[in-house]
Amino acid sequence: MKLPNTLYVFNDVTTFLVNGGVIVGHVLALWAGTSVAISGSSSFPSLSLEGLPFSLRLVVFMLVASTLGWGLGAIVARYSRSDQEGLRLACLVIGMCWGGLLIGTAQWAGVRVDGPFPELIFLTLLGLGIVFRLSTFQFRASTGMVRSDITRCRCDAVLAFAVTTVFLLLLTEFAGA
Amino acid sequence: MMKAGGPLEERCSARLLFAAAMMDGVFLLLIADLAGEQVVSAFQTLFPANVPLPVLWGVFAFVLLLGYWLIVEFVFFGASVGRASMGLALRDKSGQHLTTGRRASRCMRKIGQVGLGGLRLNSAATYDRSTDSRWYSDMAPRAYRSMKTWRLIVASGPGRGHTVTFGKLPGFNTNHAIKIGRDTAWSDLVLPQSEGRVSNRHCVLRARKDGLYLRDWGTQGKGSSNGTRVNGRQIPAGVWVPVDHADHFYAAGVRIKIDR
Repeated sequence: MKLPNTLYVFNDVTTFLVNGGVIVGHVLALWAGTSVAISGSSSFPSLSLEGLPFSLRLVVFMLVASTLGWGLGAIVARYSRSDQEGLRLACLVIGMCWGGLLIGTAQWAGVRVDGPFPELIFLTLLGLGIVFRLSTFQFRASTGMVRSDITRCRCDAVLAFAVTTVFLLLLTEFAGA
Repeated sequence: MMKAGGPLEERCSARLLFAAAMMDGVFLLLIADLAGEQVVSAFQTLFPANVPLPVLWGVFAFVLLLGYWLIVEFVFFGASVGRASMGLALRDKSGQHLTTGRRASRCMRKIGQVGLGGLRLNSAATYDRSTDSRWYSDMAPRAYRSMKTWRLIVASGPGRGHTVTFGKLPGFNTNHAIKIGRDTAWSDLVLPQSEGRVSNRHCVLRARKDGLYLRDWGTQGKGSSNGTRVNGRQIPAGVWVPVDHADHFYAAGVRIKIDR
């Protein structure tokens, strides 16, 4: 039996949201060292970097940011080629999720107390650079046929990522102060 | 010259530039956070005492933005922190670097509009349109260029910058031989007499439908004194060698760029 396209789209979006939500939830729970509820009610380990020197935290942050950049590039490069509208739409959502993950990682790796050096802004800047570089590397046209709508979808994902990251940074830096 | 990929559609370039502007904003925020207090306190000594603090911060923000624009446009040829991270490059319609005059005109228009002409998501900035500038990226496929627009550019030595456009050679057609050497009567791309290592009739580049072929020429086609190198290898004398995807070759150490 041939199912209507809308059902496939619905299936794609739902699967993405459920799986994405679970992954994001796990990652956030893993990193949320301050969450009393999670650490008290589950067996998730909490990884805190607060005691480490800045250079080590920087290395850890760069590793995570590189993973995020490579991941964003790989997923969006694949989904943007899909003929299914749901997967192409998912590129935007992934961009936004990745923005949240980057800010979360920057907060995790940065020191929470106010110091002379704005670590959160610096780490966000560094993370943006790494993710931009690695994701656009994955999007390079020489790796295969690229139609104009594919390029547009990838640009939308990059923009969604950048806007979300900066919005969350401003929210964290100024609204939280 | 940096490879700039292909020209982006207006809508794509607008979105990537917007994303790059976000990163530039974070960069300026970092500078403001690091140096803002000191600069504003310096302003307080320069300006009259009754100027309110928010005005001084506004002046600082304006100076920071203006300085950043000027440095990006004139020193780094349009490559800001965000644009460089994304590999965006500013070029003219034919994919060449913008001339200084066009860059200056673009920058003045941008400053005249306080950068607001660039805040678009679906079309190019007004100052890019008016100066006929394009954004190139590896994300876009390289545009097809007719062989007539291909060029040979001397990229080193005293003749640096000397250029020959294929289509402007008399009687150019496919299977055309472009001669390179010091002999002004023989050569299409004449290298200066001061390039002593280059032979009078050094090498010949043949433009055929299936690509470019290079031959080390010398006296009666038997090879030049100091040889021709492509893809890191010296080519045998008197044999046509495909140039493939190389973007340059060396005629006795003189780098000649193939712009195609």
